[in-house]
Amino acid sequence: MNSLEKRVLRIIGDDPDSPDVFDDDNITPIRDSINDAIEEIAVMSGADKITYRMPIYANQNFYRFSFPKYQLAWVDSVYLPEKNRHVNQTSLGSVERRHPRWLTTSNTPEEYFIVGVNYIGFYPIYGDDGYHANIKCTILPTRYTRDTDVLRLREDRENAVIAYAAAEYFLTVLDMQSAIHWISRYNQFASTLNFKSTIPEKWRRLHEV
Amino acid sequence: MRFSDIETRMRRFLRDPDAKVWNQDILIDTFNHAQEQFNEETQVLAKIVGIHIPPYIEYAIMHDWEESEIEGSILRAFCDFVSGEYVCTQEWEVEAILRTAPLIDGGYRATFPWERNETSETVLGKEIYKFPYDFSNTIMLIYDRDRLQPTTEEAVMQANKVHETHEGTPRYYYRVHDDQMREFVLYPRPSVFTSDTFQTGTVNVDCGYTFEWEEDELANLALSSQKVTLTTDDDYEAIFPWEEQLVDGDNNPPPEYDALAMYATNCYDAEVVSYTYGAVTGVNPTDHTIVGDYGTLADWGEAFSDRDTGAVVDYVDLDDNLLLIYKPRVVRVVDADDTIENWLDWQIKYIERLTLSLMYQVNNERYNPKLSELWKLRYYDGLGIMARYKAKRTAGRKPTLRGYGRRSWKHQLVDLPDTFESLHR
Repeated sequence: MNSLEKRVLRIIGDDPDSPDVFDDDNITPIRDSINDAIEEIAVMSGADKITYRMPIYANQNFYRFSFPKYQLAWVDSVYLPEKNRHVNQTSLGSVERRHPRWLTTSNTPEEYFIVGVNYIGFYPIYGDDGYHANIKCTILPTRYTRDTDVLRLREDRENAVIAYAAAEYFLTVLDMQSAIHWISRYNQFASTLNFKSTIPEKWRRLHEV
Repeated sequence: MRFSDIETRMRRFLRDPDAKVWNQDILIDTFNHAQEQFNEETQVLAKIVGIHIPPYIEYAIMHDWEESEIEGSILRAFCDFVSGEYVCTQEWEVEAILRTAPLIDGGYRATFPWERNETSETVLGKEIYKFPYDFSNTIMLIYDRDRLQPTTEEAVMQANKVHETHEGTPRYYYRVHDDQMREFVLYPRPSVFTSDTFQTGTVNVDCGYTFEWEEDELANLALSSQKVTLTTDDDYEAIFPWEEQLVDGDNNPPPEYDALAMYATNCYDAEVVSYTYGAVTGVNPTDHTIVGDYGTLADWGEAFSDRDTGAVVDYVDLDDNLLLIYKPRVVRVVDADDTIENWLDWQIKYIERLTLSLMYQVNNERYNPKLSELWKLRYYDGLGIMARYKAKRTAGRKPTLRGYGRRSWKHQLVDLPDTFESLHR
């Protein structure tokens, strides 16, 4: 049990040193909520980034991201180290409008575009093998499954994670007042990331809690 | 992520871990409903796949019900003889039933598209390709690095009377049958055919059969035959009179003959086709060499992985193949062991929220509109996060002023020769 899980247990009234319910074998619900919160904060803040060094093959315009450990959120930038230049972002439709036979051209990539959730395309593309692109991606951290796993979470965001997990716990026991309270706490944090949620206000207005 | 994991999570929130209030069926139905709504509201899904030419097809089927019995890529290669209980593979078979000698000339016709490669003669008939199983809408279809334009069968027929056998570099594609079948045809049909990727199997048999008793009868008729593996339910179809002799004459099969008999010239064993012919290109997991010249997307399990370069990559080969960029539909969950496809794992929790909202609206003892409303609001928050995610994905694009250039161009005067008399010059 890590420190975040212990803090959640204290809030929900369980003893982290000798838990009645959420012992090491039954901590999964709390762990799931913490993982969900970390993922959601990662998407809102875009704070977790990696650089993905992707080989580029001759005349192959489309690539699919295959991250063994992370989940891709979005691509921030693409850089070609061999050419020492950045690649601009565009859209598939834009390339298609400007150059209907764009797939037949080969040259140093000038633009890239994203298709769906995990495909990237280049226009144009190298005619030879042996190049690669440094793709800076925003990612979602790996979900932790053990006490000893490292969490990619800044300290000042721990309170938000704990509020999220507590809210979800109170939802499972149908304690609506407490759930709304902790959702409000979480949303206060979300507002610092320019994310505006109106759940508590809307819900109170609808049901006059 | 498997649905059973999601179910456990949702049941935790529903306080129904033993499925005493909501059974699994309603949970699956509601989750599918929520998936579809989430897909409509977010519109983030798009996929890219390579479609091999000739297409990689494992089974040819006759009837709709067969599709549910077979796993793999399927082609509806046989036509319903709508007015009766028959199915036919070729047009002349209809006449063979109606009269003693068919009027339509023979000629080569292929059941599977790759059979065209086995003869130098013209092979009649359409070459049908299939969109992927989760296909919804086309974004772009590309053949050999050139975009294909969509058209209709009627337009092609009007333009070219012999369109089915017209060969060349494909420029158009059109849907055949209806939207349900996900089938399309290239026009002109591709002249480049990758014959060297085929292995020679047992070919030139006269008949395909499904059940053992058919083999004996085919031997009596001095027809060479090969077994076609179809997992069938009890059903019976007879195409030729000799097949009817096997039963009691009323098209009612005796219990021991509940079967499906199929006739196909130059029939290939469907199982042979699935594993030795066609299209799959991957990467050899032992020596990491790329297998074959053409291919579809290699999946993660077969992706190129090299510790020296620290790189993992999948790519789509475009030469002489079709490249399809499309919007997939949501793949419905049928069983608890199904894996949720198309969504990234972190997006699934928003689908869960909508599912929970819908579950609390079900008319049972746990009906709770307030909880339903709360989960719906949480779902809306999820949509907000998805909107931010979508915006971030395209944040690097430079804004362009569309329309101004086009409008100014529209009002330009025609650049006439100097000798042309004009009051405006």
